[in-house]
Amino acid sequence: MKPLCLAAAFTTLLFASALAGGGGPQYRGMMVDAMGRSGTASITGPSALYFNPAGLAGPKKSYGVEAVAEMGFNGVLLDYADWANKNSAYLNNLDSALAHIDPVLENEWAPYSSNYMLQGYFEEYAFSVVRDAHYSMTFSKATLTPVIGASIFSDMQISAGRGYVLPDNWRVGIAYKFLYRQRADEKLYGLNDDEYYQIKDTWGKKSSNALIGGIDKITVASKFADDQYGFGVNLGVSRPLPYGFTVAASVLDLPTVFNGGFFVPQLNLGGSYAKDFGPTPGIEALHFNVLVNLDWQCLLPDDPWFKQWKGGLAVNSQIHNRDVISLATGLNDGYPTFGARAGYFLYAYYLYTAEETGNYPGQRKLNYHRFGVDFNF
Amino acid sequence: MKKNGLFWAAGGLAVVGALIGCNLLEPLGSKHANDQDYRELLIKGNNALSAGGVSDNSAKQALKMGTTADSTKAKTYFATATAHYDTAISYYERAMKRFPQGSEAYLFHSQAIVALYHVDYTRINDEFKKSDNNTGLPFIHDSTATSIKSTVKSVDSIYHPVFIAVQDLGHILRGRDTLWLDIQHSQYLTPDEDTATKVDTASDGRISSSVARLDLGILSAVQGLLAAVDMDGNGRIDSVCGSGITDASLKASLCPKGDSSEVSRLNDLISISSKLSFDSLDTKSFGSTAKDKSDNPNDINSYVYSMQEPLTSAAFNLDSVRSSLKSHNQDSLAKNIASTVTRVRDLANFVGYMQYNDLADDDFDRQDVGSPSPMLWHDYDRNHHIRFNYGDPTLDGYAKYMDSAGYHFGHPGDIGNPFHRHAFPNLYLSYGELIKLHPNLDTVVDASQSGRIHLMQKRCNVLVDSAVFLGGLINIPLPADTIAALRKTCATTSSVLKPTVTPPAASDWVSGTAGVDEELLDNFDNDNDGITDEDARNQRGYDDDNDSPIKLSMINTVIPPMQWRDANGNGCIDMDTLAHPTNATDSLKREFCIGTLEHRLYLAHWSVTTFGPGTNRVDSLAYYYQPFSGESSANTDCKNAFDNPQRLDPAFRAKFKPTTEERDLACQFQSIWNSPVAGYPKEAGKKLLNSEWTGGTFGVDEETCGDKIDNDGDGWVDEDCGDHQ
Repeated sequence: MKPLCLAAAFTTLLFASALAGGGGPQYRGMMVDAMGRSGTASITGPSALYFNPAGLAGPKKSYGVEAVAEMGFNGVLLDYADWANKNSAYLNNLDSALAHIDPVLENEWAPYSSNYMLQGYFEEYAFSVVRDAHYSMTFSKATLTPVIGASIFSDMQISAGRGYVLPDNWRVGIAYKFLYRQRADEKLYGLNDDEYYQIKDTWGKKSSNALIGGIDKITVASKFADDQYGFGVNLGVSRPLPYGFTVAASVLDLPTVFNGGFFVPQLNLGGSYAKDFGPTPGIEALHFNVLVNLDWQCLLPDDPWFKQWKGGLAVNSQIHNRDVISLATGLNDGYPTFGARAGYFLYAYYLYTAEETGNYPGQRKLNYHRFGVDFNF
Repeated sequence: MKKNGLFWAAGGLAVVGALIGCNLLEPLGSKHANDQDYRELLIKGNNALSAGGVSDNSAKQALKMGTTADSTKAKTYFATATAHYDTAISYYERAMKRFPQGSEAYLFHSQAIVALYHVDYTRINDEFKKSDNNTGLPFIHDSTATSIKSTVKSVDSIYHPVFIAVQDLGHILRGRDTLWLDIQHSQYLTPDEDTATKVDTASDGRISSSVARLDLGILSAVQGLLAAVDMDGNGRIDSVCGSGITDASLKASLCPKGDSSEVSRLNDLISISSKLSFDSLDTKSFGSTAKDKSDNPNDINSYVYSMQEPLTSAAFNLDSVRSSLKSHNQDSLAKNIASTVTRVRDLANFVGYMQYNDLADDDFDRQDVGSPSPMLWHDYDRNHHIRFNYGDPTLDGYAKYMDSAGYHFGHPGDIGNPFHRHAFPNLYLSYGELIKLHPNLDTVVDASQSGRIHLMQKRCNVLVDSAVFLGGLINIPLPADTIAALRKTCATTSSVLKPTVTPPAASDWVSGTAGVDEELLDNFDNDNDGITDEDARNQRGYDDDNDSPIKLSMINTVIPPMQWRDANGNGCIDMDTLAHPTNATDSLKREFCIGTLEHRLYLAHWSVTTFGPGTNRVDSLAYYYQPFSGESSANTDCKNAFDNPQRLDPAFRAKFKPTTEERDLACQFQSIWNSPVAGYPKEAGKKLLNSEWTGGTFGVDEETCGDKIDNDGDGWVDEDCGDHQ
């Protein structure tokens, strides 16, 4: 009876703390995002550390290394960039700045994301270092006068894990991770806030390189973000089925101790169908394959059930078992996603992702156009 | 068995945990659903607000084109914008109800309401800027070559959105605790709570309270300027006052002039403020006009209170923004809003100085003593200032520089006079000491023309200028080194007495704490601190409006209050109840009421008809009344009173048809009764002392408290009241 009580107490403590701790990192990998954030059953390689460590198990090359750099933005950011280009001279003058505020931008936040990743594996062991950062900024009015806002939600994860192939082809995996998070939520700042001046000074800085200067401006929230730390475990299981089907489940952050509390664990249930069409007639080294995913993911206890569904479809071409061109699309909570990746060893990709805010699909689009380069050996 | 139990327990808990974690055990309408709906409403509201802004911009572009067709297009665009803004407001109001903690809903609601009424920073700032070197208050315009007279509709179109926006932003700023707006804790914002949910509204932290501060400061300033017109406090300037109030007595108290109370108050404010210079606040011009519109000094405080909270809130928030700008070396931004900040803060402070008879030091000039009490003083030498020590002749040699050739600026020995400050620096606090005593005065010290310290310095220098002027006039120029020393004194020494200073044996100052309710309502800066009629008093046994023929010979004697009996109940002091009985309902009989303008007109008429037009004989007038000090022609305020139907009954004018000459003769004299007796000595054979005035000193406590009648005919009601029956 004693262990039962201890287990009950632990679970109670875990979930009670978790309610205050918020959700865990959302990084899942490029193909996952392209396929509507689905892939519990299909993910393989080091990215599986973050989604379903069972993906580390099973047949693949004996080693591999991958490095990725990516940035993402959307039309609002471009509108802001355009506006700032024309109106940056007015920021020090209330009258002028107000006269030039574009009503279309009022109360609009411009998002920006960046992603850097270095990861690799050896047989069933994998490691990964990822920085997945999301920023946003706004220049708006309070009621009469200008106010500015900036946010950051950046996760730096260092993760390692391994997969196991159990009898009857059950596959399980475990990943350990250290997490460093910078966080400053979307918030408007006024003239009495130190953050206001940090943002304003950064925005007002001239830079010899427009791109670096622009990124510096967008990422200004990192200067006043809270630093948070934690470590935790992801667990996963999968089972290939006949005819290319696979089913899987993973539990992320069970537990993850973070910033004095626990993350809400995330349960992912998924199925996938994969088919390799074999050598292409005339080009034996060229293979085509398709992948279909359907996931039910419980991101947060707050989310209603109909938001949890994710699905995706990918078509991939390979030469000598190495990706050449990949096209993927999906639905993430009803929002379409799309990705295209091309190259050989060195890849370039474009990714369109979207999330929703609100109860129903289509209410508020938080979408990104993401561009990345990916070295994969 | 033990192993199995552990297995099943762990498994069961894992399932339950997973289900809880996945929200499967909670219904769709969970407690978090409100937040989701709230966000949806915000998004829809923002879309509408943005669409409204686009339509507005299109309308403005069309208007720039200037053609009739474009003007029609602009109207359509504006109508579209209005519809969008209304929609946005509706969404935000729903969001506020759905999730009262949501700060964005309140902020966006304030954005939408000001957008709907086309109120923006530029418009407000322009109004404040217009006040530079001009008379009149922002948003309150009289009809001039460059402005159209403000109407209920035009003022409401500013006041209403500002009122709502201030409420919205106030929710963001206010927390669970009282927010004190001043060091004295006299002004505050109450704790914030949504009545239905009992939560702190707008508290989700998505909007920093700092975001609200600057705008709340600016908007509160506008609200403060106009709040006195919103008599029923419903956030609107209405043509029908108190329309939503069912309690008749409450309505009557809020709207004393009935439905048209707010219209009337607006017109009064337009008239009063038309002479007020906003960038150099001057109560002398303000007060004399105010007297034409509101003859009850007890109204001062209701005006002040209605304006003070929003203005103090404005000053509090703007000061905090200014401090922040300064600490961050944001010179450009600071300069950008500095003039607005300064004006609002000056006005907020200035309004506070005006509080009447509240037994407190409202203008930061009292002695720092343990138990302050009102400053009681008699103006024995009738120069409208407070002579410090009649027994000290030190400064008598300089009297000619203050009072010569028909000019009267007081006496060098008056409290606060630069000669006195210079000769007796040990009596006065330096400005540094004054600021130390009143730390919040530090925020008032700046380069503005209406800052508290600056007003003191300004008054001091004006008196030095006057001395220089009179020196030239009498051909005894004030020595240059004396002028320099006086100027230096003005720059360093305040007009505030040190705590250790007590009234000398022979002084106008009788008792109490210098600086507490120290002024008289006489249109003079009695204490030479740069403000007129501020922090005034109404104390028993004293002449509170400086209309009593008190004399030097009365020093150190008890001055008996005026005794009179209103036998016929008409509110005026009948000069001869037998020869010239008055009638309570007949204003035509006020020509025989002591002190009234009607009586002075009667005497002027008698003079003109007796001695002939153009003879300028003022024998009887001079016998009964005191002339306006230093004025050889008709007093302007008196002439205004003549034209004001509230002060002079049109029926009287219609019947007696006073000529301009008669008016100007009458208006050379104040309502201050000069005659030692009340009766009519020239009418031989009549009983002389059958007046309602039966004893005591005329002008000391002459009014009947609370009857709201101008008993002594000086234009004020209840200003110097006491028990005189």
